[in-house]
Parts: sequence; structure tokens; C-alpha cells
Amino acid sequence: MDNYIKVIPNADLIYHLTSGWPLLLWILFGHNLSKHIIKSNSLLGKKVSKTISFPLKYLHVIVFLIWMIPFVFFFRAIFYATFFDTQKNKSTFDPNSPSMPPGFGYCMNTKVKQEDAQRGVLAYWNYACEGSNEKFTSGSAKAMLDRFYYINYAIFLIVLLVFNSLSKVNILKNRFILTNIRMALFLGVIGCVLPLFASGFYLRSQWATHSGSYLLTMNACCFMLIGLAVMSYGSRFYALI
Amino acid sequence: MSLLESTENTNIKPSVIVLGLDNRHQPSDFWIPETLNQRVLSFGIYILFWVFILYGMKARDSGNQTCIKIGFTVGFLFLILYDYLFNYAISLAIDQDTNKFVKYNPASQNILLDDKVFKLGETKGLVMKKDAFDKLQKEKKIKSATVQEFRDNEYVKTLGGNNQEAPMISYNYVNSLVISGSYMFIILITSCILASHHDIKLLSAMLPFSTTAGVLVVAVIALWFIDKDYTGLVSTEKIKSRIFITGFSFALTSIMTPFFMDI
Repeated sequence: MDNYIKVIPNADLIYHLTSGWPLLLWILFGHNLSKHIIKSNSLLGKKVSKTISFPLKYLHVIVFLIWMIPFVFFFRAIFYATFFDTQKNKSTFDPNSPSMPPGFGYCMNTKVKQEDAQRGVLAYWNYACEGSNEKFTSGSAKAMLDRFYYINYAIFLIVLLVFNSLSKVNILKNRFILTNIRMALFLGVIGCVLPLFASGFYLRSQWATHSGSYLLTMNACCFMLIGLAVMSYGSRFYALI
Repeated sequence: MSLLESTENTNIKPSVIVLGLDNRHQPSDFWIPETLNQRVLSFGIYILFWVFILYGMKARDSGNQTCIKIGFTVGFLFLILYDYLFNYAISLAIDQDTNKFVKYNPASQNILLDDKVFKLGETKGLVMKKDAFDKLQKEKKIKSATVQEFRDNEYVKTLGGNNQEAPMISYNYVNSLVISGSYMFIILITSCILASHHDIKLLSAMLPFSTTAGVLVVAVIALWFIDKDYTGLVSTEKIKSRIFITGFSFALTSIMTPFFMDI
């Protein structure tokens, strides 16, 4: 059987590590964003400090914590997949055993009856299981696509609102907000490719969906950062009324 | 070269997938082989489309050169990836028995028309050695048809009858592409609204690519027509998927422009 069906060593670890490729984009984004962090002693920093009731450096800490969320999810996934046995509830190192999300079945079984093996059967394949997996993966991708849409639609509404009040307060001059909006839209476009690879490729589709979950988290974090930055303008809006 | 046979994994001997006629859970969307002409044509169309937009519509003059290069290259790589996954990639699965990831090399997918040997029933399928399967067929112990042959006959025979699943699954898939394309277009337009606020030059660099992307990922994919057989149905799906990738490459060019033109 080894000539026909081969075990892939360390496959689970490879699966989880490679699905984290969107984090490379997130690191680039973080580097870009760090250029637009307002310094506490700058003129703008002093203005923003007046709009919050705590030191500006704490706002920077919140920004950093939000930026870290995708990394936390990634390392958490790696930890539970490779370094922790949830059944025995203890630490272990197992880069081989698959750790798929609950609801994803294992459809192939190489334990075949003697008589079938003699006829050349290598494994049984459960089509009911494959059908469920297909529904699971494409359903997840559809749900993610919807979430991408809702986030970016919310950003669209913010942009419309800002255009309506441009003559009074122009938050788009804030490079921090602008960079976040652009990154969110960029991630939204990449996320729209998800349905293309999320059905028909079985385990590879599941991998694509897993990668998509990081893209979605990053998109949501961008929106959180936009919200945080816009909030610091709240009192200035109030002053205009 | 068969459907899923891999050139780079010839050390894995070819197997075949076998399922019963009574299988009620078989995927409606089986992979079927593409001809070399069809595949080469899809790459040709991609390049022609880019040439038409860049030189015919003069988008090259207004667009950002770096973004154009990135958009074209990423789109082309996606096309290669898509082609590879459909035509060369070996199959991956998780083995219940050993609880490990495994790879195998199925050369074809077959439906047993007269199953007296395995009695596969409604859910069970087999992964078999290809030579053993060929031998059983030669000895006339089993009678089978490839999924493509079987589905093509079934699709034509029962058109308008009971076999509604295959076309509906295909339409649903294309529908998900249209929805996705529509979301993509809204995002692109949001980005264009932002650009219009900053710099008209930035907007003029983005707009041709956004519009082209919108036309491809929404309008072209939304076209609806009836295919004559199952092969046609799956081919239409693949063509639309590739058009979607072409549209995505233009969308990527547009959405990346602000990062390069307005730092």
C-alpha cells in the first residue's frame, strides 16, 4: 500500500504554518502603520491628548494590542494543533496528527477487509462524509465572505459620512485612519477570492478557508483601529455642534 | 495524461476511485479533464485582455507601473495555481485508521454500472490499485464508466427530468462568484471615492482597472446559458473561474495603487 498511499510527515504543522501566510501582509502593514503613529510631544499628539482622558501612550498600547490579535489567533492555533493534546489535557509535540475544526470528518479509511485487499482495494472512501465536508468548507467560506462584506460596507458608510462632513472635520487627513481604511479595503478584495478555492479541492479548500480566517481577522482589526482613531475625534465633532 | 495524475509524483503509483451506481452522496461537481487547447487558450485570453486594457484602452498611461506589474503577475500566478490544482495536483486526505495526512494519485473516477463484487451501496467508495481495477475490467468481473461519460449521458437523458442536482450545484457555485464579485466591486468603488477626495490623478489611475474588474467579475460571470452536457457545465464553471481571476488581477492593480502613488 505504501507505493500507492503515502503518509506526509509533519503535515499538520505544515498545514497550520503555511495557512498563516496573510500574517506577512500584516507585518508589512504594521511597519507602514508605525510611521503614522502620532508622537505624544507633537502638535497633533497634544490635540489628540485633549480628546481622551488618559495618556496618549495608553492609546498606543491599545493600538498595539489590536494589531497583535491575528498573531494571537495564529499561535493559539499552532499551540493547540501541535503542542497540546486536548484529549489528555497535557502538553505534547505532535506535528503529524490532523487537527481539523470540529465538524470536519476524516473520510478515508485504509483499514480494508482481507478479501477486498486481495482484489486491490487500498482504502474505503465515505461519500456521505465528503459531502458534509464540502458543505462545511463552502459554508464557512460563504460566511467569511459575508463578514468581509459587512466590515467593508461599514467602512463604505464611514467614507460616505466623512464626505458629508468634509467641510467641517476631515478625518481623512489623518494618515493613520487613511492607511487603515486602505488596508481594510485591500484585505477585502483579497478575501473575495475565497469562494474560488473554497470548494472542490477538499483538504486544500479547507486550508484556503483557514487562511481566509486570518485575512478576516486582520480586516476586522483594521476596522477596530479605524473606530479607535475616529473616536478620538469625537469631542471635536461635539465642539462643532 | 489523466485527470489527477501527477508528473512530479510518479513515485506514487496510480490508483482509481470507484463508487456505486446507487451512491446518493456523490459530489455533483466532479473534476473532469481539460484539453490542452482549452488550458492554453485561458492563458492566452488573460494576456490578450491585459494587452487590450493597457494599450487598447491606454490604461497604461494613467496607471501606476508597479501596481500594473504586481496585478498582472499575481493574476497570472493565480491562473497557474488554478490550472495546477485542477490538472496536476495529487490528492490529499486524512486516513481515519492511522490518523495521519496521506497523499495518493487517483488517475480516474469511475462508477460501477454492474456491481456484483463490492456491493458499494449508497455512501461507500473505494480507492483501488489501477492495475487491479484494469484487470477486473478485463476479466469482465466489473463494468464501469468514468464519471464524465456517465454524467454526460445522464445529464442529456434526463434533461428536464430528475437529475437536477448537478446543474443546480454548478449554478450555486457561479452564483457565489457573482456575489463575491459584487462585494469586490463595492470595495473598489469605496476606494475610488476615497481617491477622488485626495487626488484626481490617483482616481484616474485606479478607475480604469476598477471598472474593468467590475465588468469581468460581475457582468461577464452573471451571463446565464444552458450547457448541452455535464462536460459543458463543468467547462463553463472553469472558464468563469478563470475570468474571475482575470477580474481579480485588475482589482488588485486598482486597490494597490494608493499604496504606491500616495505615500
